[in-house]
Amino acid sequence: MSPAIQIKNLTVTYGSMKVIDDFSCEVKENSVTAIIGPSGCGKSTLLRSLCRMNDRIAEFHLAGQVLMKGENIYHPDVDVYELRRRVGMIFQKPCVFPKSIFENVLFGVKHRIDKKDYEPLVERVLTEVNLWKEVKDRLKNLATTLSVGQQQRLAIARTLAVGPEILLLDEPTSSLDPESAAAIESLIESLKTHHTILLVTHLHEQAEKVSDNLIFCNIIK
Amino acid sequence: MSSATFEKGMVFFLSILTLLVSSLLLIILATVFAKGLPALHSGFLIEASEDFGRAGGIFYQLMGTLILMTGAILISLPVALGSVIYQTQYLKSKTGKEICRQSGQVLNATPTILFGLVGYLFFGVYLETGVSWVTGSLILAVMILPTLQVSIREAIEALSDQYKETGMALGLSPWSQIKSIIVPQCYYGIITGVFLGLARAAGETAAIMFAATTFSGIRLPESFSDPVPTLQTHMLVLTQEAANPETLAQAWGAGLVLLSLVFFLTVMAWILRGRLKMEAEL
Repeated sequence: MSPAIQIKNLTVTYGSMKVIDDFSCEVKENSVTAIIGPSGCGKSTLLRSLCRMNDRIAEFHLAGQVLMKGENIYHPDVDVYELRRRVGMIFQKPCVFPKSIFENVLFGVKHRIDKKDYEPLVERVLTEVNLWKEVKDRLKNLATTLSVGQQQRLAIARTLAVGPEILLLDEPTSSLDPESAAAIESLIESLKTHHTILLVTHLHEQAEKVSDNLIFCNIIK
Repeated sequence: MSSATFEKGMVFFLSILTLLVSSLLLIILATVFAKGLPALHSGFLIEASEDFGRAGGIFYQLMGTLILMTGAILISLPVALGSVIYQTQYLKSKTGKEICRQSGQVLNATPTILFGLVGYLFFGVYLETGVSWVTGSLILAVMILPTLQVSIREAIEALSDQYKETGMALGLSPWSQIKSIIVPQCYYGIITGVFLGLARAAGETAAIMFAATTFSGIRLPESFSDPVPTLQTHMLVLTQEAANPETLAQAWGAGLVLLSLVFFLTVMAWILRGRLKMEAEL
């Protein structure tokens, strides 16, 4: 079985600044890989390169290969929007839209699925992120009224609704209180059964606890 | 003179300048109110003018102004929105963006009489829309384009990158991002632009005077080739031709209505701008 992600001799530069230098690694399917290191060492850039989030940055340049199930994601024929649906990304600061919780969950799929599938999908993904019990009676409320920890779980549910195989989590707990962070950590472990997860963190303890593999930042540099 | 005295003198001088500037608005408002109020009567807004403006109300003039404003915004808004979306979302070249921005500013600084002249030649003569409310709306639409563009651009540029990145990460195409993130999130910015543009169009006289308006002979336009009476033309003609105080008072009355209209639109824009800020901080 080919690995979920293969990175071969990846070099990333912004203008004249080299952020990632000749980095290679493999990530197994349904595993959690933690990338740790101090800020500014290129770990976020590595993550963003895996779903081509940096495409719109003019000075961004990438050399080497990123293969997902053997397919080079930087090949000119790749549909970048489809790629981003296969590879979901969660950001450090949860970003919910000033709409209802229900609408937020459906944000990425609304025009893609039947109306009758809305409710089952919302229930399924909110249950997956352990948020269903807390919000099932107020799905019509504004998502911005949720606590930051709940918003982060909502953001994960919104990404799950799109149906990604791979999840990229960029310091998902760093703006959360310890309790919410613990909820996200146990969530990561349960998501592993169906998803391949890459987690950027600066917490050694967190990395040790949830991950199967570790990538240290100094390897990237 | 010691430097401290000089310093005090300067501050005093500057405060006088500030007072002068702020009192100008008050003086204009007070004059228009004092002169215009006597002309207002219960039917002023809903009655037709009579006896070549000497008596009656300003209903059709008000309608004419509103028709031109509405026409202008309906033409201008899609153009402004579309071009700003292109400039902010698709155009990558910095030089290209700067050219668009600067050309908008130059357009904004162009004397409005030139919009009237060039607009009349292009729309009225070349495209054969004649002296009509259509020509007037087209000219005003071009004139308010920069106002709308600036407002919409500000709103889009103030939109947090977070929203765009979230949309991108969910695999939305640029078009879906525009439809479900950019336009809804910039709603208040767009509406603010609309109100500012309307206010600008409402106050404009020179650009439409000879291309779209008439003083008498027409009430409401019955075809695309009819001109309309407007508040601005009404005031201009009445003040130029007035032979008695009643006629002049009618002109001031029309002026008061026009000023209130512009004032209302500006205040609306101001209120919505406040909401826009709240939205950006969300």
